[in-house]
Amino acid sequence: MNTDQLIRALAIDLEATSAATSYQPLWRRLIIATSVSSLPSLAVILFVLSRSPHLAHGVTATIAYTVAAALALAAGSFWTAMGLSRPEAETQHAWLILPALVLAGGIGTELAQTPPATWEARLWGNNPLACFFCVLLLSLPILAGALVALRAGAPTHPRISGAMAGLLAGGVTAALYTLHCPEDSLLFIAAWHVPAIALVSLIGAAVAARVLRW
Amino acid sequence: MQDREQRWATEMRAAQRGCGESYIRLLGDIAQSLRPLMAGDLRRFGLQESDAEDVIQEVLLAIHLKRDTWSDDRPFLPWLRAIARHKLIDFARRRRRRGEVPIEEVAGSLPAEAPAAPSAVPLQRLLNELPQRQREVVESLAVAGASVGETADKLNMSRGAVYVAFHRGLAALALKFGEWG
Repeated sequence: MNTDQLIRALAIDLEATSAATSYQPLWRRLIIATSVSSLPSLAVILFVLSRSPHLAHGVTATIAYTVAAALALAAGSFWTAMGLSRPEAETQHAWLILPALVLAGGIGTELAQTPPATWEARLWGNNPLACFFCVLLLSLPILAGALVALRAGAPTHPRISGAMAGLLAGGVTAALYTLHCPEDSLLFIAAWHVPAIALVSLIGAAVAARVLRW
Repeated sequence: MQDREQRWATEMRAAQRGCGESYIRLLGDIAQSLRPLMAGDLRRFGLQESDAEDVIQEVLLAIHLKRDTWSDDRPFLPWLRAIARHKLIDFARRRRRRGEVPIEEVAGSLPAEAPAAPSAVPLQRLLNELPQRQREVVESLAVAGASVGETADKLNMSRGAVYVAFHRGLAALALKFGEWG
Protein backbone atom coordinates (compact mmCIF):
# COMPACT_ATOMS: atom_id res chain seq x y z
CA MET A 1 0.00 0.00 0.00
CA ASN A 2 1.57 3.29 -1.04
CA THR A 3 0.87 6.69 0.48
CA ASP A 4 -1.77 7.70 -2.06
CA GLN A 5 -3.64 4.46 -1.48
CA LEU A 6 -3.41 5.02 2.26
CA ILE A 7 -4.81 8.54 1.93
CA ARG A 8 -7.76 7.30 -0.12
CA ALA A 9 -8.34 4.60 2.47
CA LEU A 10 -8.39 7.16 5.27
CA ALA A 11 -10.89 9.28 3.34
CA ILE A 12 -13.21 6.30 2.94
CA ASP A 13 -12.94 5.66 6.66
CA LEU A 14 -13.58 9.34 7.40
CA GLU A 15 -16.81 9.36 5.43
CA ALA A 16 -17.93 6.11 7.02
CA THR A 17 -17.15 7.00 10.62
CA SER A 18 -18.40 10.58 10.59
CA ALA A 19 -21.79 9.26 9.49
CA ALA A 20 -21.86 6.32 11.87
CA THR A 21 -20.46 7.35 15.23
CA SER A 22 -21.55 10.07 17.59
CA TYR A 23 -18.50 11.93 18.73
CA GLN A 24 -17.95 12.33 22.48
CA PRO A 25 -15.82 15.27 23.57
CA LEU A 26 -12.95 14.17 25.75
CA TRP A 27 -14.03 16.13 28.83
CA ARG A 28 -17.32 14.28 28.82
CA ARG A 29 -15.57 10.93 28.42
CA LEU A 30 -13.27 11.74 31.32
CA ILE A 31 -16.10 12.89 33.60
CA ILE A 32 -18.17 9.81 32.84
CA ALA A 33 -15.21 7.44 33.23
CA THR A 34 -14.13 9.01 36.51
CA SER A 35 -17.64 9.00 37.94
CA VAL A 36 -18.45 5.44 36.93
CA SER A 37 -15.12 4.05 38.07
CA SER A 38 -15.42 5.72 41.47
CA LEU A 39 -18.71 3.92 42.20
CA PRO A 40 -17.05 0.69 43.44
CA SER A 41 -14.80 2.69 45.76
CA LEU A 42 -17.78 4.73 46.99
CA ALA A 43 -19.71 1.52 47.60
CA VAL A 44 -16.85 0.07 49.63
CA ILE A 45 -16.60 3.26 51.70
CA LEU A 46 -20.37 3.41 52.28
CA PHE A 47 -21.19 -0.24 52.82
CA VAL A 48 -18.01 -2.02 53.92
CA LEU A 49 -16.09 0.55 55.94
CA SER A 50 -17.57 2.16 59.04
CA ARG A 51 -19.00 5.66 58.96
CA SER A 52 -16.69 8.39 60.27
CA PRO A 53 -17.61 9.15 63.90
CA HIS A 54 -16.92 12.85 63.29
CA LEU A 55 -19.72 13.21 60.78
CA ALA A 56 -22.18 13.01 63.67
CA HIS A 57 -21.00 16.49 64.67
CA GLY A 58 -21.52 17.88 61.19
CA VAL A 59 -18.68 18.84 58.89
CA THR A 60 -15.53 19.26 60.98
CA ALA A 61 -12.71 21.57 59.98
CA THR A 62 -10.60 18.53 59.09
CA ILE A 63 -13.26 17.20 56.75
CA ALA A 64 -13.86 20.62 55.19
CA TYR A 65 -10.17 21.28 54.51
CA THR A 66 -9.59 17.73 53.28
CA VAL A 67 -12.51 17.86 50.85
CA ALA A 68 -11.51 21.33 49.64
CA ALA A 69 -7.89 20.34 49.03
CA ALA A 70 -8.88 17.01 47.46
CA LEU A 71 -11.37 18.62 45.10
CA ALA A 72 -8.89 21.34 44.17
CA LEU A 73 -6.40 18.58 43.37
CA ALA A 74 -8.95 16.62 41.36
CA ALA A 75 -10.13 19.69 39.43
CA GLY A 76 -6.59 20.86 38.65
CA SER A 77 -5.42 17.45 37.48
CA PHE A 78 -8.59 16.97 35.45
CA TRP A 79 -8.01 20.27 33.70
CA THR A 80 -4.32 19.53 33.13
CA ALA A 81 -4.97 16.02 31.81
CA MET A 82 -7.55 17.48 29.42
CA GLY A 83 -5.08 20.04 28.13
CA LEU A 84 -2.33 17.46 27.74
CA SER A 85 -4.48 15.26 25.55
CA ARG A 86 -3.88 17.76 22.74
CA PRO A 87 -0.57 16.82 21.11
CA GLU A 88 0.78 20.37 20.96
CA ALA A 89 0.07 21.13 24.63
CA GLU A 90 2.73 22.31 27.03
CA THR A 91 2.72 21.01 30.58
CA GLN A 92 1.49 23.19 33.42
CA HIS A 93 2.06 22.59 37.10
CA ALA A 94 1.51 25.99 38.69
CA TRP A 95 -2.01 25.07 39.86
CA LEU A 96 -0.59 22.36 42.16
CA ILE A 97 0.12 25.14 44.62
CA LEU A 98 -3.63 25.58 45.24
CA PRO A 99 -4.46 22.25 46.94
CA ALA A 100 -1.12 22.48 48.76
CA LEU A 101 -2.05 25.93 50.08
CA VAL A 102 -5.47 24.75 51.23
CA LEU A 103 -3.91 21.85 53.09
CA ALA A 104 -1.14 24.04 54.55
CA GLY A 105 -3.71 26.60 55.68
CA GLY A 106 -5.71 23.90 57.40
CA ILE A 107 -2.63 22.49 59.10
CA GLY A 108 -1.65 25.97 60.29
CA THR A 109 -5.09 26.46 61.80
CA GLU A 110 -4.96 23.07 63.46
CA LEU A 111 -1.52 23.66 64.95
CA ALA A 112 -2.66 27.05 66.27
CA GLN A 113 -5.68 25.53 67.99
CA THR A 114 -4.24 22.34 69.49
CA PRO A 115 -1.60 21.88 72.21
CA PRO A 116 1.82 20.81 70.85
CA ALA A 117 1.80 17.77 73.14
CA THR A 118 -0.99 16.25 71.04
CA TRP A 119 0.65 16.81 67.65
CA GLU A 120 2.56 13.59 67.52
CA ALA A 121 -0.49 11.51 68.43
CA ARG A 122 -2.49 13.39 65.78
CA LEU A 123 0.14 12.75 63.15
CA TRP A 124 0.21 9.02 63.77
CA GLY A 125 -3.48 8.44 64.46
CA ASN A 126 -4.61 4.95 65.36
CA ASN A 127 -4.04 2.99 62.21
CA PRO A 128 -2.04 5.02 59.70
CA LEU A 129 -1.14 2.16 57.37
CA ALA A 130 -4.77 1.10 57.00
CA CYS A 131 -5.67 4.60 55.80
CA PHE A 132 -2.64 4.73 53.54
CA PHE A 133 -3.50 1.47 51.83
CA CYS A 134 -7.23 2.22 51.71
CA VAL A 135 -6.65 5.48 49.85
CA LEU A 136 -4.12 3.77 47.59
CA LEU A 137 -6.29 0.77 46.71
CA LEU A 138 -9.57 2.68 46.41
CA SER A 139 -7.86 5.02 43.94
CA LEU A 140 -6.71 2.32 41.55
CA PRO A 141 -10.05 1.60 39.82
CA ILE A 142 -10.56 5.34 39.31
CA LEU A 143 -7.05 5.62 37.88
CA ALA A 144 -7.87 2.82 35.46
CA GLY A 145 -11.09 4.52 34.40
CA ALA A 146 -9.40 7.86 33.86
CA LEU A 147 -6.63 6.27 31.79
CA VAL A 148 -9.14 4.48 29.57
CA ALA A 149 -10.85 7.81 28.86
CA LEU A 150 -7.53 9.54 28.18
CA ARG A 151 -6.67 6.96 25.52
CA ALA A 152 -9.01 8.85 23.22
CA GLY A 153 -6.63 11.80 23.38
CA ALA A 154 -3.21 12.24 21.81
CA PRO A 155 -0.85 13.09 24.68
CA THR A 156 2.76 13.69 23.72
CA HIS A 157 3.73 13.70 27.39
CA PRO A 158 2.06 10.42 28.34
CA ARG A 159 3.83 10.06 31.69
CA ILE A 160 2.64 13.43 32.89
CA SER A 161 -0.87 12.67 31.65
CA GLY A 162 -0.73 9.42 33.61
CA ALA A 163 0.52 11.23 36.71
CA MET A 164 -2.42 13.65 36.36
CA ALA A 165 -4.83 10.73 36.07
CA GLY A 166 -3.31 9.44 39.32
CA LEU A 167 -3.78 12.78 41.08
CA LEU A 168 -7.35 12.93 39.79
CA ALA A 169 -8.05 9.44 41.12
CA GLY A 170 -6.32 10.19 44.42
CA GLY A 171 -8.16 13.49 44.84
CA VAL A 172 -11.57 11.92 44.25
CA THR A 173 -10.75 9.07 46.62
CA ALA A 174 -9.47 11.36 49.36
CA ALA A 175 -12.67 13.41 49.18
CA LEU A 176 -14.88 10.29 49.33
CA TYR A 177 -12.75 8.77 52.07
CA THR A 178 -13.69 11.55 54.50
CA LEU A 179 -16.98 9.64 54.83
CA HIS A 180 -15.01 6.93 56.60
CA CYS A 181 -11.76 8.36 57.90
CA PRO A 182 -11.76 7.90 61.67
CA GLU A 183 -8.94 10.41 62.21
CA ASP A 184 -9.68 14.04 62.92
CA SER A 185 -6.40 15.69 61.99
CA LEU A 186 -4.95 17.31 58.88
CA LEU A 187 -1.49 16.32 60.10
CA PHE A 188 -2.64 12.76 59.65
CA ILE A 189 -4.07 13.51 56.20
CA ALA A 190 -0.82 15.17 55.11
CA ALA A 191 1.32 12.36 56.50
CA TRP A 192 -0.65 9.38 55.18
CA HIS A 193 -3.17 10.35 52.52
CA VAL A 194 -0.85 12.63 50.58
CA PRO A 195 1.87 9.97 50.16
CA ALA A 196 -0.79 7.47 49.07
CA ILE A 197 -2.01 9.93 46.43
CA ALA A 198 1.57 10.58 45.33
CA LEU A 199 2.10 6.85 44.92
CA VAL A 200 -1.07 6.55 42.81
CA SER A 201 0.30 9.34 40.67
CA LEU A 202 3.60 7.52 40.22
CA ILE A 203 1.75 4.34 39.28
CA GLY A 204 -0.27 6.35 36.78
CA ALA A 205 2.88 7.77 35.24
CA ALA A 206 4.50 4.34 34.98
CA VAL A 207 1.44 2.65 33.47
CA ALA A 208 0.66 5.52 31.10
CA ALA A 209 3.94 5.15 29.27
CA ARG A 210 2.40 1.98 27.81
CA VAL A 211 -1.33 2.58 28.08
CA LEU A 212 -1.37 6.07 26.56
CA ARG A 213 0.89 5.19 23.62
CA TRP A 214 -0.46 6.04 20.22
CA MET B 1 2.84 30.18 6.22
CA GLN B 2 -0.22 32.11 7.33
CA ASP B 3 -1.76 31.15 4.08
CA ARG B 4 -1.06 27.47 4.59
CA GLU B 5 -2.42 27.57 8.12
CA GLN B 6 -5.69 28.95 6.85
CA ARG B 7 -5.91 26.66 3.85
CA TRP B 8 -5.24 23.50 5.86
CA ALA B 9 -7.47 24.54 8.73
CA THR B 10 -10.29 25.11 6.26
CA GLU B 11 -9.74 21.71 4.63
CA MET B 12 -9.60 20.03 8.02
CA ARG B 13 -12.84 21.70 9.11
CA ALA B 14 -14.50 20.38 5.96
CA ALA B 15 -12.98 16.96 6.61
CA GLN B 16 -14.30 16.88 10.15
CA ARG B 17 -17.75 17.44 8.71
CA GLY B 18 -17.18 14.35 6.59
CA CYS B 19 -15.89 15.76 3.28
CA GLY B 20 -13.59 13.09 1.83
CA GLU B 21 -12.37 15.24 -1.07
CA SER B 22 -11.03 17.95 1.21
CA TYR B 23 -9.44 15.26 3.32
CA ILE B 24 -7.64 13.68 0.36
CA ARG B 25 -6.34 17.09 -0.73
CA LEU B 26 -5.24 17.95 2.79
CA LEU B 27 -3.46 14.66 3.51
CA GLY B 28 -1.80 14.73 0.09
CA ASP B 29 -0.51 18.26 0.72
CA ILE B 30 0.71 17.30 4.17
CA ALA B 31 2.52 14.21 2.86
CA GLN B 32 4.18 16.27 0.15
CA SER B 33 5.35 19.01 2.49
CA LEU B 34 6.57 16.48 5.05
CA ARG B 35 8.75 14.53 2.60
CA PRO B 36 11.80 16.85 2.51
CA LEU B 37 11.40 17.74 6.20
CA MET B 38 11.21 14.11 7.33
CA ALA B 39 14.21 13.11 5.23
CA GLY B 40 16.25 15.93 6.76
CA ASP B 41 15.14 15.07 10.29
CA LEU B 42 15.94 11.40 9.84
CA ARG B 43 19.40 12.31 8.58
CA ARG B 44 19.94 14.46 11.65
CA PHE B 45 18.91 11.52 13.87
CA GLY B 46 21.49 9.40 12.07
CA LEU B 47 18.79 7.29 10.43
CA GLN B 48 18.14 6.45 6.82
CA GLU B 49 16.33 8.97 4.68
CA SER B 50 14.64 6.13 2.84
CA ASP B 51 12.50 5.57 5.94
CA ALA B 52 10.82 8.95 5.46
CA GLU B 53 7.83 7.54 3.60
CA ASP B 54 7.14 5.03 6.40
CA VAL B 55 7.15 7.74 9.03
CA ILE B 56 4.91 9.93 6.87
CA GLN B 57 2.40 7.11 6.51
CA GLU B 58 2.47 6.67 10.24
CA VAL B 59 1.87 10.40 10.70
CA LEU B 60 -1.08 10.28 8.29
CA LEU B 61 -2.62 7.38 10.20
CA ALA B 62 -2.12 9.25 13.48
CA ILE B 63 -3.72 12.41 12.06
CA HIS B 64 -6.67 10.30 11.03
CA LEU B 65 -7.16 8.36 14.25
CA LYS B 66 -6.56 11.41 16.48
CA ARG B 67 -8.36 13.98 14.33
CA ASP B 68 -10.84 14.69 17.11
CA THR B 69 -8.05 16.17 19.25
CA TRP B 70 -7.90 19.18 16.92
CA SER B 71 -10.67 21.64 17.63
CA ASP B 72 -11.27 24.18 14.90
CA ASP B 73 -10.83 27.18 17.19
CA ARG B 74 -7.14 26.32 17.53
CA PRO B 75 -4.30 26.73 15.02
CA PHE B 76 -3.81 23.68 12.83
CA LEU B 77 -0.07 23.76 12.12
CA PRO B 78 1.13 23.45 15.74
CA TRP B 79 -1.19 20.46 16.14
CA LEU B 80 0.16 18.86 12.96
CA ARG B 81 3.78 19.60 13.87
CA ALA B 82 3.33 18.04 17.31
CA ILE B 83 1.96 14.83 15.79
CA ALA B 84 4.72 14.63 13.17
CA ARG B 85 7.37 15.25 15.80
CA HIS B 86 5.86 12.67 18.16
CA LYS B 87 5.84 10.02 15.44
CA LEU B 88 9.35 10.86 14.28
CA ILE B 89 10.76 10.63 17.80
CA ASP B 90 8.87 7.41 18.41
CA PHE B 91 10.29 5.96 15.22
CA ALA B 92 13.85 7.05 16.07
CA ARG B 93 13.51 5.57 19.56
CA ARG B 94 12.34 2.24 18.18
CA ARG B 95 15.23 2.16 15.76
CA ARG B 96 17.71 2.96 18.46
CA ARG B 97 16.31 0.26 20.72
CA ARG B 98 16.83 -2.21 17.92
CA GLY B 99 20.45 -1.16 17.95
CA GLU B 100 20.64 -0.13 14.34
CA VAL B 101 24.02 1.37 13.51
CA PRO B 102 23.58 4.62 11.64
CA ILE B 103 24.46 3.87 8.05
CA GLU B 104 26.39 7.14 7.78
CA GLU B 105 29.11 5.81 10.06
CA VAL B 106 30.14 3.20 7.54
CA ALA B 107 29.02 5.04 4.45
CA GLY B 108 32.46 6.46 3.76
CA SER B 109 33.98 3.07 3.14
CA LEU B 110 31.13 1.71 1.06
CA PRO B 111 30.15 2.32 -2.52
CA ALA B 112 27.08 4.49 -2.79
CA GLU B 113 23.93 2.43 -2.31
CA ALA B 114 20.86 2.78 -4.45
CA PRO B 115 18.01 4.14 -2.34
CA ALA B 116 15.49 1.52 -1.31
CA ALA B 117 12.65 1.12 -3.75
CA PRO B 118 9.48 2.88 -2.58
CA SER B 119 7.61 -0.40 -2.86
CA ALA B 120 9.57 -1.65 0.16
CA VAL B 121 7.24 0.19 2.56
CA PRO B 122 6.38 -2.03 5.50
CA LEU B 123 2.69 -1.15 5.39
CA GLN B 124 2.17 -4.06 3.01
CA ARG B 125 4.00 -6.37 5.38
CA LEU B 126 1.98 -5.15 8.35
CA LEU B 127 -1.15 -5.60 6.30
CA ASN B 128 -0.38 -9.29 5.98
CA GLU B 129 -0.42 -9.65 9.75
CA LEU B 130 -4.01 -8.43 10.11
CA PRO B 131 -6.87 -10.87 10.74
CA GLN B 132 -8.07 -12.22 7.40
CA ARG B 133 -11.35 -10.30 7.16
CA GLN B 134 -9.73 -6.96 7.99
CA ARG B 135 -6.90 -7.61 5.57
CA GLU B 136 -9.29 -8.50 2.74
CA VAL B 137 -11.36 -5.39 3.32
CA VAL B 138 -8.37 -3.05 3.58
CA GLU B 139 -6.77 -4.57 0.49
CA SER B 140 -9.96 -4.34 -1.51
CA LEU B 141 -10.76 -0.73 -0.56
CA ALA B 142 -7.30 0.75 -0.23
CA VAL B 143 -5.02 -1.24 -2.52
CA ALA B 144 -7.37 -2.45 -5.25
CA GLY B 145 -9.45 0.73 -5.08
CA ALA B 146 -12.80 -1.05 -5.08
CA SER B 147 -15.89 0.74 -3.79
CA VAL B 148 -17.55 -0.18 -0.52
CA GLY B 149 -20.47 -1.76 -2.41
CA GLU B 150 -18.18 -3.89 -4.60
CA THR B 151 -16.19 -4.96 -1.58
CA ALA B 152 -19.33 -5.91 0.31
CA ASP B 153 -20.58 -8.01 -2.61
CA LYS B 154 -17.24 -9.66 -3.25
CA LEU B 155 -16.65 -10.61 0.38
CA ASN B 156 -20.31 -11.35 1.01
CA MET B 157 -20.58 -8.85 3.88
CA SER B 158 -22.97 -6.03 4.66
CA ARG B 159 -21.77 -2.50 3.94
CA GLY B 160 -21.81 -1.75 7.66
CA ALA B 161 -19.62 -4.77 8.35
CA VAL B 162 -17.19 -3.61 5.65
CA TYR B 163 -16.91 -0.19 7.30
CA VAL B 164 -16.36 -1.69 10.73
CA ALA B 165 -13.74 -4.18 9.53
CA PHE B 166 -12.03 -1.40 7.61
CA HIS B 167 -11.91 0.96 10.57
CA ARG B 168 -10.60 -1.77 12.88
CA GLY B 169 -8.05 -2.76 10.27
CA LEU B 170 -6.71 0.80 10.04
CA ALA B 171 -6.51 1.14 13.82
CA ALA B 172 -4.71 -2.22 14.02
CA LEU B 173 -2.28 -1.08 11.34
CA ALA B 174 -1.45 2.02 13.36
CA LEU B 175 -0.75 -0.15 16.41
CA LYS B 176 1.42 -2.54 14.41
CA PHE B 177 3.38 0.41 13.09
CA GLY B 178 4.27 1.20 16.67
CA GLU B 179 5.56 -2.30 17.30
CA TRP B 180 7.44 -2.55 14.07
CA GLY B 181 10.86 -1.06 13.42
